[in-house]
Amino acid sequence: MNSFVLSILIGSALIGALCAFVGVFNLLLKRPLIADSIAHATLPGIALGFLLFNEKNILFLFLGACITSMLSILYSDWLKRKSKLKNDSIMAIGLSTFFSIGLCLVSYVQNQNSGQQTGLENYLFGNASSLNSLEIIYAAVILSILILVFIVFYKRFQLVLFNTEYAESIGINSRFYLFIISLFTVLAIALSIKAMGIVLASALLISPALALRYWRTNFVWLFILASISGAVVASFGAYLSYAYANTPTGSAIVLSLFLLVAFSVAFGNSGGMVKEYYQQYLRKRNIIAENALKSFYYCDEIHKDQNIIFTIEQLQLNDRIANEELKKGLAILSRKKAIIKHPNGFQLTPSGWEKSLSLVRRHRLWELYLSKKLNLDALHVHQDAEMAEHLINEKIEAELKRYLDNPDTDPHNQIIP
Amino acid sequence: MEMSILITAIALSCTTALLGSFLIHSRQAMMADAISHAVLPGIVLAYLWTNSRGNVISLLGAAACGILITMVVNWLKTKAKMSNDSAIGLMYTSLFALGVFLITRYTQSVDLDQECVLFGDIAYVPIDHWYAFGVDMGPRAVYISLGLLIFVSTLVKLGYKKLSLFCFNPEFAQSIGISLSFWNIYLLGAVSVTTVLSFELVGAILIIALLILPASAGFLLSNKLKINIAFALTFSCLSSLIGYALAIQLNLNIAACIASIAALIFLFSFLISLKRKKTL
Repeated sequence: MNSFVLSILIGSALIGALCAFVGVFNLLLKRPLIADSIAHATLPGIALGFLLFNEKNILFLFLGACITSMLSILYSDWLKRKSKLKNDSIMAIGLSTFFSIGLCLVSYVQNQNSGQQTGLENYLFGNASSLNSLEIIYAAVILSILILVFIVFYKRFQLVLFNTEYAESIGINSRFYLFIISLFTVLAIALSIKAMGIVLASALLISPALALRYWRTNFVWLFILASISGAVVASFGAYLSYAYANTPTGSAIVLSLFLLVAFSVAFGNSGGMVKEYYQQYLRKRNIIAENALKSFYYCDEIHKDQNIIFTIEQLQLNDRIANEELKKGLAILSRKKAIIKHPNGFQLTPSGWEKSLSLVRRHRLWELYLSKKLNLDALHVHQDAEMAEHLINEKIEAELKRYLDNPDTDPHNQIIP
Repeated sequence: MEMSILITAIALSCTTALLGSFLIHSRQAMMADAISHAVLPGIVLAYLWTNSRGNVISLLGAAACGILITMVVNWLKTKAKMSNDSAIGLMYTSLFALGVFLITRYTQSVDLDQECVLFGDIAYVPIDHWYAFGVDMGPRAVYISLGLLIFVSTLVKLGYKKLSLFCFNPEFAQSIGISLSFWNIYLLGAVSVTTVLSFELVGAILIIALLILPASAGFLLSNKLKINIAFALTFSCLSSLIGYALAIQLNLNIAACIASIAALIFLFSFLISLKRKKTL
């Protein structure tokens, strides 16, 4: 690997880390799309910088981008304070205003140097190979300042992000910290434009933070992990676009980021869909099993004997429970050793008996609580108790008993076991 | 002075102003932004498949892409508990990236390139003629944009009552049996079709300018939807006229100039609304 490739990879990694870092701030502030607005607003600044100075002067292009995107933030704030427009309209207004003026300027620039490549294409569509050493140094410097600021003030940032009112009340100037965040957001985006392209730059801010939301982390690790994943994905994308011809850097990075988010949404350990569905499935199974167990108790209540072997027909109790569900429940119960399967039916084991007692107890306690303490009509409490019986744990059960003075019967005059 | 460009611009901007008035009331401005980016892969795929641009049927397929993103965003919101803005930010960048990737990798022609995605090429309207039965009928874009204007006006006229209920008072609308998701798709579907058909003329981002800026300017000047729409239509005609004249004078990109003028008009009406608030 030669030094050219190495410098591109390092540059992309630095920019990726920087963007992902400020992206976490903006996601926590619930304004991820501000990145989109800021990115579009860099265009007039870049075009002006290009017009007034020239392509070679990277500092002026960078400063121009920063200035116009800062202006767009101020404009949006002004609209927010003084007009009745809603947030999403304001975002779209800021974005399209600055971008159209930028495009006017770009078409002017292109007319001036007709026929020549102006270098502005890189800003519009992004090309990591066009990063030069100066920009990489900027990225490194800004990233280290940001990390330094974060290390010194992270407690304060945390307060401002999660509890602005409280932060204000103990004398933290939250507007100052929000300004710092906006400033670094602008700097990060202005740097990333050349590698990512204007339209796609916002993804580098939004996606790593969004992916990390599906993993269990704490405040500091959220920043660290987001930056690392931003850096890795950005340099991976830059490498892809270098290695394969006709692969724009921005697209390669954004599509890799999409895969990262999709993976996290599917398999994340905090709100990831696979885990959520598995837990839902377990809950559903549990409810089916517990309902089947309850029908044993009801049969026992009629026959006054816990050791009788019941057939499926008997357990179905005037269709109180659907045949399919009962069969499923019985299968789960016998695996759990709560019942024993005999050739002519099913019999409770001692542990199953205990469990069925407690279920019915909880059901009837809840019915009594609803009718006695919440004054609901006794006719309407059954449905609610059907749900509650699966959710009440030992602690709540004890509390209910105490609250209702250890009752003997429920509102329908049935015994509470 | 090319009348065909002017007619196309006015028809397109009136169409978008009409839709924009409903969009900003239903808080879906950024959703429209997302749609305008998301149709790109659909357009490129349609182009690669039919090997021509402007084939209306394949472009309707691309419009389906726009409706698809609203569904995916909804799915991410309800099933993956993502916030609305995050879902929009994730999906539109990804789909746009896919579109740019497809363009640079698989289209070698000059017909569809990256520049056109951003700028559009409304300046070429007079060149591209429509031949019906071998007879030259004049510039094709004029027919497309006028047809689009008639189509969208009819949609708005037909659904005006329910659309405005959907925008202003969704809870009430739902309570009297109006399906929110149907009217959402109705509105965003129209946006999607408009976006696809105007994409090659004005580019991806300027559509947003035309959708949102005149409508927002109208919104600031009145509280009545009908007056909002009247203002929005006036403003979009004005910005088309002035923008076109300016672009010709200074030799700039026409669509960008029209959008910039729309932005200026918005700024003026904002200042007027500020002043009015003070005098009240």
